Amino acid sequence: MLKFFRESMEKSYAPLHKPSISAQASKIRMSLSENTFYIRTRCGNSVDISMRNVDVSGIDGFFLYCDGMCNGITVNNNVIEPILKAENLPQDPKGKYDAIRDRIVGEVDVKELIDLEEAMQLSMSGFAIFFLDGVDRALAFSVQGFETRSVGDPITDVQARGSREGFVEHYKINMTLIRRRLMTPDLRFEIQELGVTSRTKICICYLADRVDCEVLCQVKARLVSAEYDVVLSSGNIQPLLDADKPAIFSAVGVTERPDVFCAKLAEGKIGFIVDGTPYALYVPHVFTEEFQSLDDYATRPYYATFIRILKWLSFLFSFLFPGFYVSMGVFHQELFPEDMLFQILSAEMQTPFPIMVEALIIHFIFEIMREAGLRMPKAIGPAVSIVGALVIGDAAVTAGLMATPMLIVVALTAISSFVVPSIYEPVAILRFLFIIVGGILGFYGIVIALGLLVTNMSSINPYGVPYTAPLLPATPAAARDTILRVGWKHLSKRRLETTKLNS
Amino acid sequence: MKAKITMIVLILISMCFLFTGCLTSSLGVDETIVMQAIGIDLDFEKAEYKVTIECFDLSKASGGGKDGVEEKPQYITTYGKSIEQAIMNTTKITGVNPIYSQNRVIVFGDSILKNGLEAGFDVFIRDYRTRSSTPVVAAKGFTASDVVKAKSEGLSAFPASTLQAIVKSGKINSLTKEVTVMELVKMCEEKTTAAYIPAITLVKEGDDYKAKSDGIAILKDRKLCGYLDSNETRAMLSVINEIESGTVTLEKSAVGISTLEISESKTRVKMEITPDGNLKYIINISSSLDLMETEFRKDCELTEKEIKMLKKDVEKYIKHQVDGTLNKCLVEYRCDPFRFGQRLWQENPKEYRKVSGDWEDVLPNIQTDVNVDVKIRRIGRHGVK
Amino acid sequence: MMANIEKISTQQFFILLFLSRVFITLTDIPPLMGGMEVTDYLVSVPIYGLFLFISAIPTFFMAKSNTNSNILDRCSCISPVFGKISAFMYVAIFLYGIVLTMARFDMFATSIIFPKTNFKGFLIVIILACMLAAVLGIESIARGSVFVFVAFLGTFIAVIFTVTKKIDFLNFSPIFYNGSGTTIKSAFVSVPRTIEIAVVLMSMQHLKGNTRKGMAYWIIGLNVFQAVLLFYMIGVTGDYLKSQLFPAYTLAVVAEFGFLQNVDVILTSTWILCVFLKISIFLYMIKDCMKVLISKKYSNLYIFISTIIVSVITFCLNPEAYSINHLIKPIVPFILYSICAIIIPCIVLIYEKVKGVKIYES
Repeated sequence: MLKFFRESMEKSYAPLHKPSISAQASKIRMSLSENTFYIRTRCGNSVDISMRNVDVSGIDGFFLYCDGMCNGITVNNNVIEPILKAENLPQDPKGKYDAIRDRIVGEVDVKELIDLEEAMQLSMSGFAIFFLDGVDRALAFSVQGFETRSVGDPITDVQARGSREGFVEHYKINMTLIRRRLMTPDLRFEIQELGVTSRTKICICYLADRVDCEVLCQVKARLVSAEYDVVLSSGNIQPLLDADKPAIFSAVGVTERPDVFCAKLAEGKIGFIVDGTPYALYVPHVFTEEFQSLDDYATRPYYATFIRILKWLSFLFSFLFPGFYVSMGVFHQELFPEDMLFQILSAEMQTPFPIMVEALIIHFIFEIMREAGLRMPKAIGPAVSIVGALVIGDAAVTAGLMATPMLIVVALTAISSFVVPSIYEPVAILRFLFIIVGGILGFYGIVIALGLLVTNMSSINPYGVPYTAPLLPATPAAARDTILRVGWKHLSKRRLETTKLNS
Repeated sequence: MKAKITMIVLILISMCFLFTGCLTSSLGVDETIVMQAIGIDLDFEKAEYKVTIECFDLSKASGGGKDGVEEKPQYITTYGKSIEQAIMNTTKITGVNPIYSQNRVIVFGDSILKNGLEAGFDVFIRDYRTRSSTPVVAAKGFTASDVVKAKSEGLSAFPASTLQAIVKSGKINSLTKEVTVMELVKMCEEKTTAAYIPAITLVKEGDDYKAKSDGIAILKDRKLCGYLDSNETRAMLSVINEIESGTVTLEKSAVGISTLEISESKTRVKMEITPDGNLKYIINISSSLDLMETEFRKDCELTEKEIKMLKKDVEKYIKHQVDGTLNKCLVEYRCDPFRFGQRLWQENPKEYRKVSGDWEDVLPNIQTDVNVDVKIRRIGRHGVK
Repeated sequence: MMANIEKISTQQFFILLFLSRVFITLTDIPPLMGGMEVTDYLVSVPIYGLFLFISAIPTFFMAKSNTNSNILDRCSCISPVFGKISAFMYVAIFLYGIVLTMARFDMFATSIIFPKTNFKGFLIVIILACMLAAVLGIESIARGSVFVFVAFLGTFIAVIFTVTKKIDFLNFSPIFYNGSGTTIKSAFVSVPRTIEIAVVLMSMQHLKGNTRKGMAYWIIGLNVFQAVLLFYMIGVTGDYLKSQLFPAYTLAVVAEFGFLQNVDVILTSTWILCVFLKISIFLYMIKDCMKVLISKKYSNLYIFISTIIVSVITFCLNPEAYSINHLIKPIVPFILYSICAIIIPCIVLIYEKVKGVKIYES
């Protein structure tokens, strides 16, 4: 049965691997016409691919570039014009080619190519490729000039005292943002390509003097073995880097901020910048990092500690509180003081649903509103807010469909879950699970589920680092920057090495 | 493989949740009546237990509590061959299950106490729904039903809360003592100890009866033996070192009518065996009191001599009270709420083995020597002359 | 093979074993048989500790000589048949431990938590959750135990703190009022139920650190905990505990936290976590035993099979109130414990001494 489903699913999807072209077939040929034919066949009639024929002192050549990806002025002024106006070029094609490569075009970076596929790919990356008849090589001139978003405020990761720069879509700009903060020769960038069709550039970043080589090898091996057709965002490769076991929380960190990214690299982690997305990834990531932020290090230790504790409590509150409330209403009424119990009883008696069902419905409605708020056009935002507040908040209660205490629970839970927005997704699902467990098995079920959750989190050991470190297993030295944040005098004595947290 | 097993287990666990109907006995908060107090009497005519329950009255509840909800108690009276049956018979009237977890107080009527607790108490120890921390109270001179239905005078709208507060007031005035189910059972289990529970009586005010604390009821062999009034209760509590706070009022003292507040009281009991083989208990009571009120004289300041005389008067008064209570319990009632037998067992098991069988006969022969040492620490805002 | 063995620190491991005993301690039915008074039960704790220590001497020697392999590996070195027989005995003791825990938990839960119900469904949920934890490995269970330990310690200290003022020293009975024989017998009978000694023997290859020291701390800590708990139980409840099936639960009931009332449900819920850990580690141990008994090829399948066996036995348990008395009869645990914790380790030690097997210092 399972085999039947698997086979029918596979039939619906196209095979991932395209027939590969042999290296021999895509080698640049001596004959310009053959090269031109190959390129025209591969690219078809795509209007953004430009092929311009030129005459270089009697020998034919042509330029291949992508409209919109190149800076037109740079192409004309710094590449084509110098080549066409060059004097005293050797007569033979090879000599002409060498002269162009070495001395004619000096203002832009030049790369030599032997493969037509590579040439086409570079042309789509903003390079201008020059072919000369009689030479089995090509020159790629770096003349990128495509439109990119300027560096601005990070949208998701807001810090009160952090910098206002966030990553952008182009990986080279991101690399610059990182290099500006870590001006050390130990900072390394390595590029890998993922995606058979998209050939997306993944930039692996690390500090050579503190990275764990074993982890680096593991990470590279994972990337090499990946089979993707297109990679359009960092989320596509996140599962690739995540722990192998099914887990509720992700063991890959995500950030939009270069300062946070650099801080992680300084701890010996390995970062990934994916071209086309402003969200960078880093591994190994531990759970306690969700509750750390740069602002903690910019404020006084006592306040930073207070905020950390607040975050931890909010996290627990956000997924446990509805379950607790439901279990208390269904099983453990003795926990309520009598006056509160009377009010809750009066409110709940008017509603048609049992408490557990009511909790599930209202939390589901909240998720609908949250998702709608995220996706809807800004122009109709206020209208939806009014609908949400009036319909859910007031009308439902007045009509007796929902009880007021339940709305208070939802409101508090919702606010708490946005204190640590990076783990909102797993918390939202856990909330539903704990409501069901609390409604069916009471406190005891919640406790068992909590035990199972902790065990599941403890079982994640991505790259040999326990996900629950440094709390479980407890590492006293690392714990000074977990729930507490000690002063800089102590923090600056020894830096944290994440990869050494296993025990 | 691990992922497959995880999925299978999660599916199985989820399937278990489908059997919710038979899985647990959940009583949703909207499908119950919440018991606040329970009163138990024996109806001799019907030869059944009469159980009076105070619970929430939700007939005044509005949707969502927006307009405020008037808290009003509801009373249900049922009968049954046993207390458990009587409580379950409430479902014939209300149609929903009662929940015990919010029960504030258990009131036993005279009829039950005189008959013995054997018949009417086991449910509160055995039934899983009852809580061992619930206070137990004796209705003095009235039925338990009357006490439960008495008008509330405290801060809460529920009489049960007020009853509970009255019982707990022993911590403030030392004129009564809160006894929970657990403590009552503990006292009953001890071979030589006489159990006691606080007594509540009713006072008529106009057309209504209001609950009032009135000492304690002494139980011998789980049957009502007698009562101690408020002052005797305080004396008893001072012997067993349970005085936390309270007042002592002297009608005749060196400075006239005086009231002193007990700020601290410690009692040490020593046990001896006299040469003629009798038991002797030396009770040393050491108290610190503050003078709160005396006669309003022209000259408000007290002299040192007056304070010393007042101290002696207080000591005499306390000693007189304690001696009277000891006599009443040991001689008149022949019961031991002071746990003298327990102390003997701890300190001299051999002697205990000899006398425990006839403890009731030993009690009148017990000698007691009460020594009271009082310190009047403060005399209020007035100074000493 | 050695590289794949999960390693945990001895602190984590013995915290796990401590919590494993906690549930049994907290739900222990006082063996007030034939005239044992309340204080005698307190006195039986150090006697139990002494007996336990003596019975664990072979385990101490096992830990001293080699901590790189467990008892079954060393039994298999003597002879594969002996290894299989030993594995069978260890499977039996762990299965017995799980069934006894489930039966006791069933009794506790149906008396206190979810009465008047067919509780089997909840038991099955717990067993399945334990199975999942066992599949995740001993590392996760051990780490989870630290979290449970912190929660348990917090609630226990809170209870102790609030009930301290209710202690009445008159509640304590004279020691050995009815003689010492019953007390000593009761302590002796409790030792074979400490199946955790078998867990230590089976887990030596997983441990990093000084196993003997950890074990000593564990035995001492366990006894201190039991003594403190009993002291408070007797001091607060006195003879009331004679009338209760689970007197430790009464402590949770009488604990008051200011405005918070009736918080016993929060306190007892941490006890449930101890059950969860206990059964998880026992299932994991059964897996290791089955690998020797049957084949090393499978791993999680054994956990699955033993879960089914335990579930079937749980369903078939006699639901009558007295049935647990048959399970806790001393003879069964005595035989199993003697074989697994004393006889088999002694055979291994003697064999290794006689044959001059190389000793690995831990």
